[in-house]
Amino acid sequence: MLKNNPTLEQQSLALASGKETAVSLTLKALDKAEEFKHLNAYVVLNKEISLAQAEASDARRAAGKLLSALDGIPIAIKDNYLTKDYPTTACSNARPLEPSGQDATIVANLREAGVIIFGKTNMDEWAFSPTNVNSNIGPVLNPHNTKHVTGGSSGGSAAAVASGIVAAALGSDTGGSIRMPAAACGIYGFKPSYGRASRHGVLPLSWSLDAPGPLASSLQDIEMLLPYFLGNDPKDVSTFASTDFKKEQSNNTLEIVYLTGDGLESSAEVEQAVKKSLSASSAHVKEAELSHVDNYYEAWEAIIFSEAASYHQPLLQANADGFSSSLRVKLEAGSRLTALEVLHAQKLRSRLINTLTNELGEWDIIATPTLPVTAPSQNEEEQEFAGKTVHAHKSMLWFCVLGNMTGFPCVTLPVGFSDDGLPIGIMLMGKPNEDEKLLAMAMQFEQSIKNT
Amino acid sequence: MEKNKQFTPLTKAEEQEVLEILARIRSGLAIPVESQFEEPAHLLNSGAFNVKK
Repeated sequence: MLKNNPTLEQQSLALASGKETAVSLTLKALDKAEEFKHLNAYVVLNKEISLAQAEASDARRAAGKLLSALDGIPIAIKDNYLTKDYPTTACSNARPLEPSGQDATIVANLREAGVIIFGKTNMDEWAFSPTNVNSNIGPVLNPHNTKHVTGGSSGGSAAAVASGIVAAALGSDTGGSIRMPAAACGIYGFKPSYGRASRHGVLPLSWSLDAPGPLASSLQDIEMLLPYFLGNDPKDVSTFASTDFKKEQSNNTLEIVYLTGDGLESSAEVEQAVKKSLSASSAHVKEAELSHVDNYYEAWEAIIFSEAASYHQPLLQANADGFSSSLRVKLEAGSRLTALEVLHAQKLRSRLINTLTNELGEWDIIATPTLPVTAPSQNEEEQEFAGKTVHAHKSMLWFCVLGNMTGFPCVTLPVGFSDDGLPIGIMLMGKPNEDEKLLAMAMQFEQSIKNT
Repeated sequence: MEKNKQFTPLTKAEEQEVLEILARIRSGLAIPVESQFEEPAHLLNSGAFNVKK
């Protein structure tokens, strides 16, 4: 995160104290969006729509009818969330450009809380890439170094937060699409447990892997946002067992498992920064080695490719030329996988869940770097680390897919910078449906680092 | 959605990419699952139906 960007918490306090109004906050955000236009973080941002919402918020405040602590604060929306006042393109030429006329459940929740729906952010086409280079409006540039990618697919949201246009933004995560850009841009990102947050109105990539979540400027900001994500939504049956957000505290010594093994390596400077943060924390850390990690990656590919191919069949038949060549190739590959192959991938997924749940001993948190290397440059196809040469797409997804394969909640937080000034993040994974506990433990972890 | 028109077929290079992706995925999947009782993860609740028997 670039220095001195206000957090949601600070913006909320500034509004409460009268130092800011919703209109003044929105005007500042509009100025910042103009200042950082070169990052290409936005698909669409309408000044009149934003200011009208801000004026309405200020009127509510004046009348003593505030809707929430977030009333009047601008938050950006990834362009795969349906929004009634903006088109939703998923950065694909295959989508119509008219507003859908409806809000995704999470957008509706935030709108009811008085949040200013501050435009739609750039993303990889249909969220199916991890660098945010493959968008129909061009790549997003990393605010820390514009020669580098932001990571994707929620790259526009990450760039909008990291550059200080907004304090928080919405993202979605199928293999790391919240955590990868958050880590690459030096901010915070939270992927809820599968089934805790409603996917209704978020254009699907892969039904059994997708999780909508926030990107933000602090863990406290994520705590302010999660109540609008978590909970049962009859429009998404996968949330049938979800409960509303309930704040937790964490004070006990944390038991952290740090994963190692073939397929879980990272560059020396990333490993050093992550291990330094673990050592500086008050947690008890032990290492555990996983096997078959490469196979889990390919099992993840089998699931995402086949589910995406299934979802896109009607559009492929009607408008195949609306897809980029690289996405069409992926969807075609997914169409040719057999049912037995996909079920075998789901069995490997079960094995991974069992391994992490039952075979690592007692743990509160599983930790890995979020990315094994810092963000690649815009045209870098391969990255080298730990004696391996890895395609940049796979290196971005290296650790993050474990969170989607298991459905466990994950959070990324910044823990340092590389020698060339690019951010490094740590990923903390919690137990399924214990999202609030994971967030509380992440706060405890971060505080213990700051205290040393 | 209306079915449309003919669309551009995959090029030879795209077809080759498809084959390479499939080969990579199939190679990764080519390990045995150890337990005959291992169940596929459930689509809607990835934790609920994965109890080790």
